Order: sequence, then C-alpha cells, then structure tokens
Amino acid sequence: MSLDLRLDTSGDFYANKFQPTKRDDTLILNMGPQHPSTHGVLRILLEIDGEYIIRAEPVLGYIHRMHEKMAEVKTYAQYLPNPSRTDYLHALAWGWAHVGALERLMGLEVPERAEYIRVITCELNRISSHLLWWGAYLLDLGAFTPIMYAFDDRERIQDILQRITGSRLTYCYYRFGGVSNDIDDRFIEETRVQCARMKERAKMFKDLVTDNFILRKRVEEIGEIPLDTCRKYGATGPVLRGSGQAYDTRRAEPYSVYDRFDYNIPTYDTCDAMGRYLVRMDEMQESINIIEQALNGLPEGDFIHPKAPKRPKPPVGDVYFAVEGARGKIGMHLVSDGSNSPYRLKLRAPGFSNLSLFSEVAQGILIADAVSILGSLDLVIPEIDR
Amino acid sequence: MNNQDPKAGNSKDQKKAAKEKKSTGPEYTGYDLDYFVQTKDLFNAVHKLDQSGFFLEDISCLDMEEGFQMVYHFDRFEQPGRVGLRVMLDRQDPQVPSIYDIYPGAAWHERECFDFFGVRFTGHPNLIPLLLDPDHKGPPPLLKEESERKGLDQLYPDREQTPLSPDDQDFMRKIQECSNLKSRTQS
Repeated sequence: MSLDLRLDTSGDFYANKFQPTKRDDTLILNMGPQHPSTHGVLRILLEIDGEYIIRAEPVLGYIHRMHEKMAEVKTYAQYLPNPSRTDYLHALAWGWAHVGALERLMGLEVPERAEYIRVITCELNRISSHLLWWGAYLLDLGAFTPIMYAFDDRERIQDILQRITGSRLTYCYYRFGGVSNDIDDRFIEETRVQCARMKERAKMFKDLVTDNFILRKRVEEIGEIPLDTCRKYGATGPVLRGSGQAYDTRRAEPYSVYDRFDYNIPTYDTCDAMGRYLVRMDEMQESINIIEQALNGLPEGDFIHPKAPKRPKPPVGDVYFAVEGARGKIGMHLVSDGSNSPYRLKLRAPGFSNLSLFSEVAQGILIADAVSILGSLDLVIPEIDR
Repeated sequence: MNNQDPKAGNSKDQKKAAKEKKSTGPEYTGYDLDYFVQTKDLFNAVHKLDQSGFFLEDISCLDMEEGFQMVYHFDRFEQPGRVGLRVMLDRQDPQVPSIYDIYPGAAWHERECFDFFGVRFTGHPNLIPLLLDPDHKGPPPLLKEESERKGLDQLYPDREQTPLSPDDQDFMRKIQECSNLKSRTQS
C-alpha cells in the first residue's frame, strides 16, 4: 500500500482545491481562521457574489490534537482528563461518555448516589454551556450587554462546581464507578439558591433579549434546516430539536438515572435560528427542573463504588456508549483487546456532524446571515477537530 | 501492599462475570443489531437503512491483522436503536464505496478515515485531508505496528463473523423492528 498521499501542497492547498468555479464574476473569500464569529479557529472558504454566498466550505484541523491516538498510547486512567479538553464548555458530559463506555464494557456498577451527583453536576454544566453560547451568540449579532448577564450567572455556577470538582472549566470529576468527591450540604444549598435565581433571571432574559425586535429580525426565518437534512447529516441536539424532532439521548437511550425524572424535551418546528435559540433557552429551565428533582431525591450512600478499579483492565470487547451533551449526541466507540489501554477509541463529536450541513444551508444566503447560522449551531472547534 | 492481592482477585472475578454477561445482549454493548457485510453489499445495506429512517452516527475504522475493519453506526429518531455495519477491507488495497450519495453527512467521516488510516472511498466527491495537515509526511497516524495488531478471533472471540446479505428477508425485517426498548427494560 502506498502510504504517501501524493498531494500537491504548493500554495494554499484548500483555496486551490476550492478555486475552480463556473463563473468569473465571483470572489473567493476566507472567513477565519481568526474571524471572531467562528469562535476559535474555524476557517470557511466562501465564493461570494456581492453580499450573497454561492458556495461555502469549512476547513477544519487548525486545533487538531489527535485525541484518538492519545487514547491508544495512554492507559484508561491516564486518559481521564482528555475528554474534557475536547468540548471544554460541556466537559462533564464528555467525561461521562468516557467513563460510561468503560463501565458498560466491564459491567461496573455505579452507586445510586454517584449517579445522582453525576446528573446534578452534568446539568449544571449544561446550563453554564448554554449561558456562554447565549452571550457569545448575541455578541456575534451585535448585542454587547447580554454576555455580561450571562457571565454573571455562569461565574456563580463555576464557583459551585469548583468547590466540588477542583476546576472551573476542564473538569475531570467522574471516575470509573463513581465520582472523585462527595457533594456536601453547602453545595446543595448553593445549587438550590442558584436554581431559584436562574428561574427569575429567565424572565429578564426573555424581556431583554428574546422578545427584542432587532434580535428577531436577525434570527427568524434565517438558516432553515429541514428535518430530513438533519437526518442525512446526522445532526443532533438543539439543532435537531429546533427542526421539530423530539430526539434526546437522555430519553431515547436512557443512561444513568435519567428515566426517573420528569422533564420535557423542548422542540420548535420553525427549523430556523430562532427555533434553535428557543430550544436552548427552554433547555436551561428543563435542566433546572432535573437538578431540583435530583436534589430532592438524592440518596445516601457511596459516591464511588468501594471496589471500583483505579487502573482498570477491561475484558476483550466492543461497546458503544452515548450521552446527550449541550451540542448533541456524544458517542464513544471503545474496542478493547484486554490490555490496560484501548485498542481503538472513536469519539463522535456532535458539532462535527452539525457543522457538516453548513455547506448545504449556506447556499444563497447573505454573509451576515452566515454569522447568525454559525452561531446558532453552537460550535466548539476543539470538539470538532478533536 | 497487602491490600492489593485480594483486590486483584476481585477484579478478576468481576472480569469473568462481565465476560459471561456480555454475550447476553445490547445492554452490555450498546448495539441493538450488529452485522458484518461484504464490501459489495455495503451500499445496498446502507440504502435499506436510509429507507427505514436511520441517520448516520459516525464511521469508525480499526487496523487489524486481517486488514481494516470499517464500522458504520446508525441510529433512528423514532423508535431508537443502534445498528452497526462492519466491513472488512484488504490491507494492500483498502477501498470501499463511499456512501456519500445516500448520506451526504458521511463525506466528512470518510475524509477523517482517509486521514487516519489511508482508506480510499471510491466515488467520494472531495477526498482530501480534513483534520490532518495536507503536508503530513509519513504513514497515517492510527496505523498500528505489525506486532500490535490483533486478529478478529482475538477481538471478537464469540460472535458471528460471516457476512450477511442485505437482500435477505431477515435483514430488512430485523432493521425495521430494531429497537432498544428491550434492553431498556432489562437494565
């Protein structure tokens, strides 16, 4: 087999590949990788006719770190901090996918209290992720003030999580068979106060931003993604629910103790950026709902299984484990050969599939609307590039 | 140090127990259906999944003694259930038909496999590096050393490895009935 890819890489490789065009009156424009609205290092090649986009092609890989290779050369325990570096905004869900895959493979039991703690912390993290998306998205659309309100609440959630997990962003809190640290009365008290506060704030967010005429002009009927396009591209999470499909991994493929809680899956069938916006705003309230139910039903017991392995050596096997992250379905395909590191670990990043439909949606829209659509997809580039 | 010996014994027992349980079904693997198909049947099988309303989750690949194993994961919005399709490819000439025509979302997943393993997808409209640098020299990063490769018998000791034909009546009925409800009630 020839391992040499034999590519002509002189000049700008991706621009050269993108260049051939049927028309001679259009312009090729690079958006990013330093463009503020791409939230990190995403580059998008655009062929434009005046203000209108004819073709668009995202170029990835600027922050690629080969997490899948790292999994193969590290042991399971050494890999624990890695998943939270992929999607740093919903780090706990990625950590959960990793420990969950191994627990499924080894048949490890997780104590009930640990499952409840995981649900509470993961949902808190989901709220903080949606808050940051909310602030940053509005910043993209030209509204500066909301991000200040968003970070106010986000800081409080981070303070709560910092006391328990030891970090503010890239949490490494879940362990095989439980969590690393028990929660205490102060955590419960602070979480209850924050939940009550978030409910009050939601009204202000609605009055200040959601009902705002200028915002609605920027997001309503912009970037319509039909449901079948979502299916063809494998889009999940708020993007899919904003197109009217009530699909949530927590409900469709229940893991942990999610089947014990009563919560709605918000959906909007407008398929536009406003639909995706409203789904996330409603999801924050549903997460608060779940947290309050979990706090009320929090059982006593161990926070980690007493016989949980510190350096696991799972049996030979092939498992798939999926959780619902803030951006959609996070999947881990783990193949073990019986040694203390995976034979192969494939990470399914929801943002990867969600972004892949952008080329199709972007045809024929204004550049300003492209910013609105990219923001409504809630991209986290390190997760997409892995 | 004294504590470690009984612990090791316990984890061995756990492993044995887990191994015995594993054969009992989807709640231990995450797959509700899992088939090997032949390379020439792949397009047909994926087409049938598309007709049954499945979406593509991801495309994964493994470097093994026998060659490359491609794993396609599908799931469904209504009536969720995971289907895995596995295809074995020759190491000397790893070629597989692209499923881009059915699932346009496969384009990026296939480019990723091309990056990491050097697998060629015939009929792919734009098979260029996605995540790796186009200037990347040397072998694809996820290829294993020959001594580290494992065979099908080592990784999948007790499972059916004969390829199934998607034209089988059974195949269509099973994917239509595929659902994770059963494993949900058990676990």
